[in-house]
Amino acid sequence: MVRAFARKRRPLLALLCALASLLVPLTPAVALGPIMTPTHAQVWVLGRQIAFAHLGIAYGDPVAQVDDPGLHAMLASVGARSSWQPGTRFVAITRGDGKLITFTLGSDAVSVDGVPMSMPFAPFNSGSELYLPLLSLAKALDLGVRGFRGGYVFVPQIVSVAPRRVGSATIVRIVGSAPLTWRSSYAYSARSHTLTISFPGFGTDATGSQPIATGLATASAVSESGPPGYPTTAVAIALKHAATFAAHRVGAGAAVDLLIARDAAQLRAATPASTPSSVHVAVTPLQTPPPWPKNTPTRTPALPQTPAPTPTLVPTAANSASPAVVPSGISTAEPLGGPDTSPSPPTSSASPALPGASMPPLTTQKITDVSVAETPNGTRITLTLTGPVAFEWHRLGDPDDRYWLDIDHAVLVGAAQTFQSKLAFIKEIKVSQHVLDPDQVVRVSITPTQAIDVRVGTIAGSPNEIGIEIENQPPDPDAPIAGVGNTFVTAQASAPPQPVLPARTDPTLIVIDPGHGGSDPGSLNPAYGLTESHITLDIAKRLEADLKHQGWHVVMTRDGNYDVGDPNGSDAQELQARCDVANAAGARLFVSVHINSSVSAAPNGGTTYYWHPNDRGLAEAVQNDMIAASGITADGVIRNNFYVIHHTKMPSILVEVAYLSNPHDATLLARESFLDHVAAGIARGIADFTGGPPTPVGQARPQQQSGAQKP
Amino acid sequence: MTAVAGCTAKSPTTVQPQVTVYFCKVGTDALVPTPFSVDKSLQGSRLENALVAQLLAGPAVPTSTLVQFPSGTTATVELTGDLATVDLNGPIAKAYRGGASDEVGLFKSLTYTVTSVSGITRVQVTLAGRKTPTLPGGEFEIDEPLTRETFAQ
Repeated sequence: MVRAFARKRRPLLALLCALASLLVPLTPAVALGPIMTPTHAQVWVLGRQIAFAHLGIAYGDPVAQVDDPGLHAMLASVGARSSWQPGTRFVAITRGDGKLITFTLGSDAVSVDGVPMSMPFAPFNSGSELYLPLLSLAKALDLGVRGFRGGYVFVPQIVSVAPRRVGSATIVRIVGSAPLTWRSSYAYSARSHTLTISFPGFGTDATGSQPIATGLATASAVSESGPPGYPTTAVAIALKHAATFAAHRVGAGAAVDLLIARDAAQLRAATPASTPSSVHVAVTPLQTPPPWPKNTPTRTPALPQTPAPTPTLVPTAANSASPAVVPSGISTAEPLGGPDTSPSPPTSSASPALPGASMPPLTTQKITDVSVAETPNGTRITLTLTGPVAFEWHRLGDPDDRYWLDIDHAVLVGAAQTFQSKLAFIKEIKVSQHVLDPDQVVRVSITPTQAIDVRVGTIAGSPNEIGIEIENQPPDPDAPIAGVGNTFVTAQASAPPQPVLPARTDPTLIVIDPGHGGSDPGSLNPAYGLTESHITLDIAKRLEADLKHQGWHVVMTRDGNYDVGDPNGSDAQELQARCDVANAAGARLFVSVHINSSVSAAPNGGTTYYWHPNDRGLAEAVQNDMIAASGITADGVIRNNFYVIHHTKMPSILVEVAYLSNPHDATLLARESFLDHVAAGIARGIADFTGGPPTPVGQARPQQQSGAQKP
Repeated sequence: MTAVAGCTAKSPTTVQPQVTVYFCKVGTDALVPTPFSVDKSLQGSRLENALVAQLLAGPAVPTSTLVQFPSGTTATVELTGDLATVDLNGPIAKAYRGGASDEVGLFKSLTYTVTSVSGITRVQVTLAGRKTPTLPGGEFEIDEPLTRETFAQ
């Protein structure tokens, strides 16, 4: 409700800001902004975490100082930069392709290439600093926003794919919202030829296929795969017959022209004369890639089951420019990576071409330890690393069923290792230095005797460990067959193929889940101006403060108005993402906060739900104290199979505080004092049930005798 | 003779089978059983489809005291052994903006109605042909078959 009222005040606030900016010179002492709270929420762009000096939350959304180094780094990573002089009203942000975004202090409209775009609230001054709404900036830059663990993942987008004919060649222009890096592959069979160019780190809303009536190409298909925090968008071009192609970076690099022609001569003829000599050009000669399984390298000899102590294997040379197969007459300044879907030839790099301006290459890391341990349902392989890495995995279908994972820029310390599992469904697990020069790639290869399900992800609490879990069951029929991931963005934990692996329980930790949010507002009561997702967040923040006051550690599944999982993902992924937060953190308790609603205005009161029978005691304690503290009508403690209390692995409850659809309850929900009392009651119930967080030996427990100390 | 002749002159009264559609009261999990007569030719999946159609249509007298499926919801029912698969289509398959209690009420009424037919004990709900964990925007889990025990307290 605070949020709802705040939004109503915005026109007045904007007017005040505008008047102030017109009547008096802006001075650092003028504070016209809303109440802003600092946040430790983290921000990632293109797989890199961006460190902000002062990130804040205003109106529930993140805001950043215009001169924050983090904002500069974020802009630089997508090929943009900002321009602002203290005391002025305007902030100009320019991108390499000429895109111009202008924010005006006090105006809730941002100009994007001259076209006004409305924002939830205006840039404002707080103290001497000017703050910009970060989500609106991301939207203006065509960045997808994907929430994760209270943080924000900004994902550049492939915004358009447009084919045209030039002479006898076809040119497909692909435009992104950040400098593009890509991989290309070419595959054909007796009846089809397909050229695929993929963009690691880029998402898209332009999925789908369209026919192409020009030249060699017959259709294009755009798809997104991989984890939502670091997806890969692929553009597949279906060809009438064999062709050769080249990719030209356009302008500052946020677009690429894919030239497709029958042969090299036609390709040269179609190449624009203005193309600078330094343009990135790659040509894949026609070739016949053999099927993947037969192409699997088998050079690694059988090795002892346990790793023998061996000298450290250190590469003798740093990365160097890869030699590329380039027909004469086509210049190349920097070759692209080879076909990305094929595990061979060994000299091909699994890494995308990385223009250093937007995404510096990862430094090489060592894998210092490999262990294999049995789990209740299979086996877990754990790799210990010296730092962050990116990886790519593939799954072969029936009858091979083999699975492999390539870790880029990694060196295996010691010799290759082969593990013979005692489990009948695993024939062999091999960890080897797949490629050493020019790129370092360590491959984990799993050869099963039947279809297996494999999950890979970082181990909660151990960012430098990759866990690979193998289970004796076939994967879902529609499960992806390949994907990428890394150990420094775990936002994709909620969705395959990078789930968070279970962690040990932290007896001091409670996870609060504010129901709905982002793309899902939950229930609405327009007559009272109430939105469920806003109220649940409000109560959750109050509850967070109360629980911290008791001495608990608290993790929120979200602390702003965003999706916890991928906004474009399924509802199941969204709910599972919330469970993943609690499961990965090893929380002691999970509390989901919701507001009830009905088609009838009659029902009223608060209800607490549980699913696992052992959780009834927690539900009763919370329900009793919430009713006592807030005065809301008691509507019962009920067992029901709600997703988030079913799929969390710790005592879990779902509190429906009151009915949004009931006039009396809605009136209460609009009062901050009521929300305060509800939060205090829930906190008191938790204290009554648990006795409070464990006290470290030798320390007195902070005031937690009977829940929060609320007036 | 006369008596016999008199009896044969009259048509015997046809007893129509009784079936029950369960509606759920708003704000509670209390069910309101509503009997209907159906033609005895309705058997198996045809009977189930008729029952579910009646549930979706709502009570004979419109009321706001009973939870009802959103207007425009359609369903088809297929039977396999003791399992009835109810495929829901229409607005409910796209977004659910109701509350948790109504959501539970919908599926409780559906489950009780479908399992009122002898031999049917489980109800698998699908949305537009796909099995999904919950309604879009919902909380109640529907990816496993529902039974009357699902709603037992």
